[in-house]
Amino acid sequence: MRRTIHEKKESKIWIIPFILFIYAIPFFSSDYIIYSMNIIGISVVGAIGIDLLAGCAGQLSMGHAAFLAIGAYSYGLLVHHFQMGLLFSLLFSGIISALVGLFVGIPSLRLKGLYLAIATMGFVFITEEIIKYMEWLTRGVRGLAVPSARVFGVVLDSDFRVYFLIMSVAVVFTVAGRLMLDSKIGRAFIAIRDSDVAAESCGINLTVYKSLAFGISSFYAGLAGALYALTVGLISPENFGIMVSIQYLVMIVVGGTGSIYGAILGAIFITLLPEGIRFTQYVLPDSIAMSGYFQMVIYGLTMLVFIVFEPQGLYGRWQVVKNYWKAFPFNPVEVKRVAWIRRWK
Amino acid sequence: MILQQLISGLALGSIYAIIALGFVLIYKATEVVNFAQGAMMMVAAYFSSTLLLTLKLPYLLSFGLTLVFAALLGMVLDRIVFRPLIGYPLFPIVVATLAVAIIIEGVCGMIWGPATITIPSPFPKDSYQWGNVFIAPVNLWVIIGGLTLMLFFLVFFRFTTMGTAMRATAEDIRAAYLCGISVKRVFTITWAVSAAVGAIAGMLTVPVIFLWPGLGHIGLKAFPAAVLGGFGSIPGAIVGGLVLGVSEVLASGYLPEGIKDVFAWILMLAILILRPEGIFGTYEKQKKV
Repeated sequence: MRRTIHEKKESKIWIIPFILFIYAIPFFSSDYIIYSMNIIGISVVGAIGIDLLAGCAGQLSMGHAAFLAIGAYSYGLLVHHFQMGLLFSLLFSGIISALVGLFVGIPSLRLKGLYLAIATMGFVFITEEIIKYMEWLTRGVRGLAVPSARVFGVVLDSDFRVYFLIMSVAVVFTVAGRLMLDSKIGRAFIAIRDSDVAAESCGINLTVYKSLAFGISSFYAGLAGALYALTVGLISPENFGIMVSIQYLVMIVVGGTGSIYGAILGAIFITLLPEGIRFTQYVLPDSIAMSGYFQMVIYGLTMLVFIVFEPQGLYGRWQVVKNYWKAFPFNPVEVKRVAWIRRWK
Repeated sequence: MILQQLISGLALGSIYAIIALGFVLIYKATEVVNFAQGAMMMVAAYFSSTLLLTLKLPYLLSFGLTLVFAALLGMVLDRIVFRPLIGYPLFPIVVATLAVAIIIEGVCGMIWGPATITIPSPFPKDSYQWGNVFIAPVNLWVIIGGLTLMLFFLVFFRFTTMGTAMRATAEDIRAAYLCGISVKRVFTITWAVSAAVGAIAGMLTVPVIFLWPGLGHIGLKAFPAAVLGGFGSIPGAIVGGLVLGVSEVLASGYLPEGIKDVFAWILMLAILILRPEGIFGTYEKQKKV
């Protein structure tokens, strides 16, 4: 980790009690909260994956659901048909997904922006159809039952027991993602996002790093898919539609693109949003508050509000607040500049 | 037999083509990729269903009112959502259009409910017979409508001041602005026109396909059509849509079952790998920094 001399390294000591707190949560929470936390942990892994690809490397992919599906099904099949061990299957489903990701990443070398988004969107539909078609292997639309995992003699058959596995994976891969962003790989991704011509002229091999971005992102997605299969126990192609891809993109937009903390905040926010919407039933009549369509409207409005008013996401807002208090009594008065074209920055 | 399939393929393709035309119009003028085109089509169809079924207005009047409604919707969307996003990169804009699509789908579901609706067709029921080929009047009108729209917009972009202004805006917003083009007005009009095209697609589709809040997803199918023809090219959108429709019908006839729904995407991936600029289009130029 190379830093300039002016940059003071921030103390990260608060992370240790935070992790301890996470591990303590299930001992005093209801089953429902533990289940929600499990889903949040899975979403965090998946969101970091898409953030590395779309947020950091700037390759807008709508294919994340397909990689989740590949991870989930590889895990399910490895456990179901071949009775592989838990950790091995988890790792292996991530690797299978990463290999497919590398393969899908090949067109990304030629395609840019919009075209890549549409191509990866097609990949989601094709994967869904292949899973339905290979019924002899994946049991098609009836869904594949995933047996409870067993690790070191403990059967992970309840949300309480799965919790520790999911959180450990989430913590490990969050730290890994953070370290990767600070390394040569992360800097190369960000250079490619800002301008791939400039990146190439700085000696960054576009072929290698774009494929790598796809590979790493799909590894995370595969891992998240495997964890999902393990938690839910029954997976079917409907769980991995195009809406799932969109949901993950929304997570990083809401949280703030291009930062690991942003991905985590976004994953928490979007996973808890339906719970928040449920509180409206105290105000609104049941027929509106409980309908799925009302949830869709709120969901869409949240996306729009964040994009239009808070383009840097939750994490960006947090940094603004933090910097404000850091400089507190001496804040410069901001002069509102009338900009004809507003910029993303 | 094959001629019959060709005709139904052309009809299906024309629907794709008209939706794709809506995408291409917005993309050409504003460089926004509108994932909400299908949703805009759906809401217009719902609006017309209320006019036709509840208020029992005559068909042509409801058609006109639906077009006006769609145009207003496009203007409102432009003013509220997309104008603040001018100058943003692709990613937030794509997510914003997706958000609009989700909101429209949710609102339609809340107003009209999840049940499917059929709208009476204004066209005669009996098929025209030509040799041993039967053409349903709906299909004929869909094909005619698609071709007419294409010709109209070709002329519009080539020969009118507004069309030229739109092309200039797409080329370079700032330069267009400096030349005295009112960029804001261009954007508003583009959104209105594109939404109206979506409404036409909706009115033509709904007698053939059931109307329900998820209908907007058919709009995604128009992406392969637009890519096939070359994104940003009007004849490309039409030809791409027709090719897609025909090949989809042929694929469902001669290839194993299940491939029909994804054939469009497979075809598109092949095109993207072999010839990313599509049949007519020019590949996305290097963006100015």
